[in-house]
Amino acid sequence: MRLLPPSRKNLIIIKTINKGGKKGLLKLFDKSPFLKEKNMSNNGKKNKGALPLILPAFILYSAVVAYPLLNMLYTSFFEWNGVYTTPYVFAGLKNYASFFQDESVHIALKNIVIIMVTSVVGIVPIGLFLASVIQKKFFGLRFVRVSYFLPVIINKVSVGLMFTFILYPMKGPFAQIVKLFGGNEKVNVLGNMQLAIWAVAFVLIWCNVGLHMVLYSSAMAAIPDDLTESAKLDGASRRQIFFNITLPLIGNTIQISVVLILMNAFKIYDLVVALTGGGPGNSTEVLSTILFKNAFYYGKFGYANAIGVITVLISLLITVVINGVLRACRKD
Amino acid sequence: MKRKLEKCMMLSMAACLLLGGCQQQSGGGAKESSSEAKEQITITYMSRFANEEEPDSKYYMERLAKFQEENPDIKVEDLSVVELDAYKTKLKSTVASGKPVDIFTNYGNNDIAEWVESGVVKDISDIISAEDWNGPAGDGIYESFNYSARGIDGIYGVPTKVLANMLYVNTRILDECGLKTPETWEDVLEMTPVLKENGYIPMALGAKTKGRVCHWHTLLALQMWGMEFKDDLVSGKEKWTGDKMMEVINTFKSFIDQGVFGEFAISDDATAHEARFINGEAAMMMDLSVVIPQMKSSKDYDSIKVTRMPYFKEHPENKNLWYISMGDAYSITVDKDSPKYDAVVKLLKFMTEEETYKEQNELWKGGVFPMDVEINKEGTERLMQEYMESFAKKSGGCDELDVYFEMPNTQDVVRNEMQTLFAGREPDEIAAAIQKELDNYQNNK
Amino acid sequence: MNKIGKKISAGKIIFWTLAFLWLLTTIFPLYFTIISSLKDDNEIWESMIRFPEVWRFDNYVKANSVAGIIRATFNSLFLSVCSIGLMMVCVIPASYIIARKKIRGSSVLSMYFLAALMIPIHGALIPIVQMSNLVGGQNSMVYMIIIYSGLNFSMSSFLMSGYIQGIDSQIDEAASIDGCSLRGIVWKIIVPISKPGIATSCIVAFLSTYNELPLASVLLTKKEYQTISVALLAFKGDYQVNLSWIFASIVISMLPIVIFYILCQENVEKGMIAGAVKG
Repeated sequence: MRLLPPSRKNLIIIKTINKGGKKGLLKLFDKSPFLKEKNMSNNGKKNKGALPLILPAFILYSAVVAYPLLNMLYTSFFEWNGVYTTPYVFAGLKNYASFFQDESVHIALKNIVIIMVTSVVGIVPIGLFLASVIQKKFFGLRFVRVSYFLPVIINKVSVGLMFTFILYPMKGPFAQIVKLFGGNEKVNVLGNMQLAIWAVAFVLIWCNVGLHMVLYSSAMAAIPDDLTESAKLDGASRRQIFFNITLPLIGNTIQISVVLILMNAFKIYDLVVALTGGGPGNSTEVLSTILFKNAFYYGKFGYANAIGVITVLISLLITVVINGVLRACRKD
Repeated sequence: MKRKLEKCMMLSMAACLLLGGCQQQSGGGAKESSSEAKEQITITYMSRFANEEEPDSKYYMERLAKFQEENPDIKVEDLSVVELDAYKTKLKSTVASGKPVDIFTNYGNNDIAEWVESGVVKDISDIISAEDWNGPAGDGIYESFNYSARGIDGIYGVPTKVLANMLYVNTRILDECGLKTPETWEDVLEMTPVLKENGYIPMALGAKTKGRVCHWHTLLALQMWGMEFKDDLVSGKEKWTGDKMMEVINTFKSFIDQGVFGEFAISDDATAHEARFINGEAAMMMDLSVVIPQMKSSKDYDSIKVTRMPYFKEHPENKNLWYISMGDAYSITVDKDSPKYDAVVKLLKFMTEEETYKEQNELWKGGVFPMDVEINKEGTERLMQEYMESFAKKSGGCDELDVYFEMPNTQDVVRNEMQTLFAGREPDEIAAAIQKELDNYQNNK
Repeated sequence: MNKIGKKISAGKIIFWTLAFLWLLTTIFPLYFTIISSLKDDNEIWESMIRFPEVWRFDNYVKANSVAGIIRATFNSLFLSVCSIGLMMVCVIPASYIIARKKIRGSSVLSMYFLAALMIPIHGALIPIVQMSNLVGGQNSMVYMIIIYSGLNFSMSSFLMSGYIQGIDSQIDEAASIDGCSLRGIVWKIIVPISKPGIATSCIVAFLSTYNELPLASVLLTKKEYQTISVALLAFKGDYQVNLSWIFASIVISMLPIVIFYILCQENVEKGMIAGAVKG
């Protein structure tokens, strides 16, 4: 590994002194020996052996995904009721116009934003926290690790069922806990049009934290021990180590994790159906449930596909934006 | 390392699957080899009968098996699935992709309206009016499968079930509180505070299941304004925001506010409310006839009664109007000139003929069917008998109001909006929202 | 700050309390599922958190006989493992090529591969069914494996490209100077190093395939081919929901993964760490 010059950003300030009003850096910790050089891409170097490596993937992907995508795009410009004998009726941009006028879409968009934001805000800190918990050695570590990961693998139908019971007013454990804290035990979270979506958001966080905990944990474990050891020897506090060494080094992982979280939140379907079925009235509808309803209940396939196309576009946009933001964050 | 493990797992799984698959194959193979070398016609069949534990499902699954036994030259591919969303997805995918299921079950009205209009579902009126027809007959039965209002002649489905809502009463609880079985809604409202005081839910309702809410709504509307109201609503003469409908919705709301349905109706789905009744937590409930067999699991079985729903004192003429739905009807999608036609019609007849109702009558000791069957009064189960007696007195009835409207998603809109009544939304908002959707549809037609 | 001598600080108490609280939130639903799977339906509604009065182990037998949950679990596992295998074989070299930009138009390709990342499954359902009608894919495990590989491709390619980009390209250069072919670089060098990426992709793909519902319910109609989510639907009717059997099925369907995770956890993490440090 090449050594990078000890530029300011590679230094961690461990102790500051205050001698006679003057602040100064007493101890610096240089982490540059431990950093890898930034990757250089191989632009322009064409290698003949590359084609057969990428061809199978290309064929597989195109065969499976290309037709559905194109079909979705094509159908979104028509009206079709889902009967094979009925011809497609050209409708231009009508479906897209309906999308923006549809009230349930407004609710769905609002819900999606709530879910995405709470997911990121909830999963990343909790995931990091749990990852640091399982880094330590203690009795029952294995059990704790497994049980933190369990929610990830439980079928969403069952999660919905479980939480329906847990959040049941008066009889469910959640109500009992609220009672303990002096609240009204009759609180009906899933039956309340304003609160239901927050319950859904929380359950989504609950389901997914385990996965990201594993991601962060393995990234943390990849940090060479000598780095943290020498930092400790130099007197850095645990907090300083965490925020100044651990976090930046697993920055790549966090970026991937955030994209995963957002994509997962955006795609949410099974959980909503299992927990609230769309909520009291329309209050917990999300884009995927609206798409499903329009396609398979109302027979508006053209409109449903327009929703699908818009979904794909929005998510591409999100991916690009997130990548850009995180890259900028990490540059400084 | 992980890939090695994965490979090991793959191999072991593949081995297990192959073993399991071989067993299946050999079991199936033996059966097939016994059939003759006649040409086998394969037809696809789809219903919601896939759970043997549900009594009526079990009956129809066995009936289908019997058909296969008696007709070795017809292979029936059973695509049945129980859950509604999955059922709709599967069914619509087959229609959308060009290979509709040959024979399937549905509820008529809006369920298959578009398919009738586009000719996917075929007219079976000639089969029904033929001499060898042995299934349900009579105009009233086929009302939900008659699309003459949309300008299409013919009949498009044969119902196999009569679903009716009635009042289940736990007389033990009523006796405990010094009350009698209610006759009118006013009685119910009087009983409510007493029952609540004693810690019972007066009338259980699973408002989480949107359909149940609409059954109630339909019933109240019928009881208040009679059958003509339904026609007026559909034709547009009466609006949802009009006085009559507002009175219905407001009455419904007042029931909710007074606690007739208990405090947490919105958190219970249909099975929960049945559980509450069976457990003795609720004094009464409105539910369909199909849950009568479940009553046996209650320790209060002997004190449970069924009777018709209460009526409004001011409208005694409507007291025998019921919520009735003709359900699980078989419809076909094969043309007369298709080679599969005869086989499919044979299956259709087999699943809907008189014998099926006789057998079911025997099974459950009574019941109401789309056909009149000879009932052995001694053998009937008590609740079934009470049901049949009340039902015989009915003067009319209809399905959920929203299935009669032209707009395809009326049912969904109404169900969504009605459910919010339990979440605290105001009646006029709900009515306005429904009316707006309907008006939009009319304007954009 | 001097940490020596201070074993228990306020921070530590909060730390461990929070850890324990989260443990409770993850354990409790599991506890609830297990006790409910041993109860009678009506009992579940009556006394939600108490132990069952009678331990009904026959719920498990019933769950299997009605829905074939054990077979369904095998089917789900088989589909997931095979589709992940197929997908990985394609994704790893492809993401290497894209990450290292070894081919003209790599950035366009990477966008192309990303397109299916967010395709909503119900939107793609009809075209996929239409395709299956053409190739006779109904009730075909092979068809399902290919479809699942394709659908999970985007996510895995995104993850793998990301990881490979984080690997120093000098390693490849050193290897190719030593005479290693491109294929060799991918399989012998990149793969061992990018174990975290591979593991992540596998886990994510596995999760999305194991519990997948719409495609499986439409395309796999024979009972012996049903997957878990489809089998669970057998209990959910209009008039009757057999809660206790659903819970029993859920417990059965979780078992393989839990066992696998418990057994392989340490190996997986060791592999991840070893791979990472080597780089």
